[in-house]
Amino acid sequence: MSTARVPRAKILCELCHDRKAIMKRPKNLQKICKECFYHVFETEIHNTIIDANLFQRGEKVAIGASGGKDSTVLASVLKTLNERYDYGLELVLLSIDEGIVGYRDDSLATVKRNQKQYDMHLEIVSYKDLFKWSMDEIVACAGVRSSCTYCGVMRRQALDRGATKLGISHVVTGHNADDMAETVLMNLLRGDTGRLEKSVNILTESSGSPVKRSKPFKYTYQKEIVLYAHYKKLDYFSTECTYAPEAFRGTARVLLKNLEAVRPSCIIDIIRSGEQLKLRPKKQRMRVSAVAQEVEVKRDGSVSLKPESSNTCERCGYLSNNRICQACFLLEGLEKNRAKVLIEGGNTAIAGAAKITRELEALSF
Amino acid sequence: MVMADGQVLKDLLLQIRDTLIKTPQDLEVFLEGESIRPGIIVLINDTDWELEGEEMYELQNRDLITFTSTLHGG
Ligand code: SF4
Ligand SMILES: [Zn+2]
Ligand SMILES: [Zn+2]
Repeated sequence: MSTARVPRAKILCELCHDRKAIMKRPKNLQKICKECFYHVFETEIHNTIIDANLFQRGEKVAIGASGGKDSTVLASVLKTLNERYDYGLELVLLSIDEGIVGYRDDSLATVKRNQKQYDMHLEIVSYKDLFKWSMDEIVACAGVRSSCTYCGVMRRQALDRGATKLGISHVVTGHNADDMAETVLMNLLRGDTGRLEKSVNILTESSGSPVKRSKPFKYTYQKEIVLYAHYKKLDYFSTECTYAPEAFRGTARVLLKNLEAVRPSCIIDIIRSGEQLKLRPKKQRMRVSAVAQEVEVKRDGSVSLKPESSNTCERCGYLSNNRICQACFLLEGLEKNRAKVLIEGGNTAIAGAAKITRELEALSF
Repeated sequence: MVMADGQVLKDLLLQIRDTLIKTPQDLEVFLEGESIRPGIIVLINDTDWELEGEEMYELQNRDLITFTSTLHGG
């Protein structure tokens, strides 16, 4: 360019009034500089942790690490906060190998680099080892449409087992405010009030699992996580899983992003609304489940109606008050289906998967 | 990417659409109509484009424009 352009006036940071603002916070539209961003980002997560009394001193905590931006930022920030505020936590990385070629093998390489960068122990549990099925095999048999249904059930159990193996009873995940608002929207649109109430909890414990889950990023915007990873030059992996995400979640996500474009605070507003929703205690449901005791499977994936009696899955030995656990239930259907495919050589896979999805919905895990 | 003098970021989006994006599926990930799809973070020389006038930002020589999607992955 021949003529020198007059540079735009710099916008000063609204917090320190000193440095150049580099971003606008979606939460409150504040324009802030990089240093102030790091500070408010980390401090808000610290406050969330303290307000929810999330950790106990000396606790061993596993970070569910996928190599993606959310869990990479989570590992980085928890390490920083653990040192800065002396939480006294022992942090380890826990990764799931779903067995998705071209996706998970690359992202696991990222997690292995993170292990060195953050100096944490890394434990990898694979679906293939636990269930004798990799996601690629499941998709080949059941079709791509219900991949996330299988994957979600198996992941929950795989995380539990990985944590238990390490003697850990607390797994933190990188779910952020956008994810949570998206889930609230989804449950709202489906009229799934039971899930709706639970979906905004920062900490979840269930009778069917010895491991509690928490979401320190509950109030953290996706945009800020991405910017934090970008400015801090964190090493993360950003390729999408080759199997399409659940269709309805995708729809809710687009809806949320469109809402956010008009009104950025809507993400936190949706979470706050979700927190205010409390269901009337359901007397009727108790009666129904008492009758249907043998087949009742609760929403949290547990099948415990009598918390004092705890059995194990007869196939895999995992905690379950049903004859078989949720993962084995799914895989059993798949094995029957695989046999059918082999015999008929036809295209029954998709129909079989759809049927299993319907059965699952009827069971309302 | 080479741009003519005096063009704004919007012109860049359209030029990317016309020259770099090959399939309608890819286009859908990037643009909605003629605007950037909500959920994509745009940085102009590492600064949030919301502070730089967004689509009306006047491009300058050697500007670095970064697009990051928040829609995928986790
Ligand atoms: S997108 Fe679905 S199949 Fe892929 S890793 Fe996530 S849950 Fe599993
Ligand atoms: Zn500042
Ligand atoms: Zn089992």
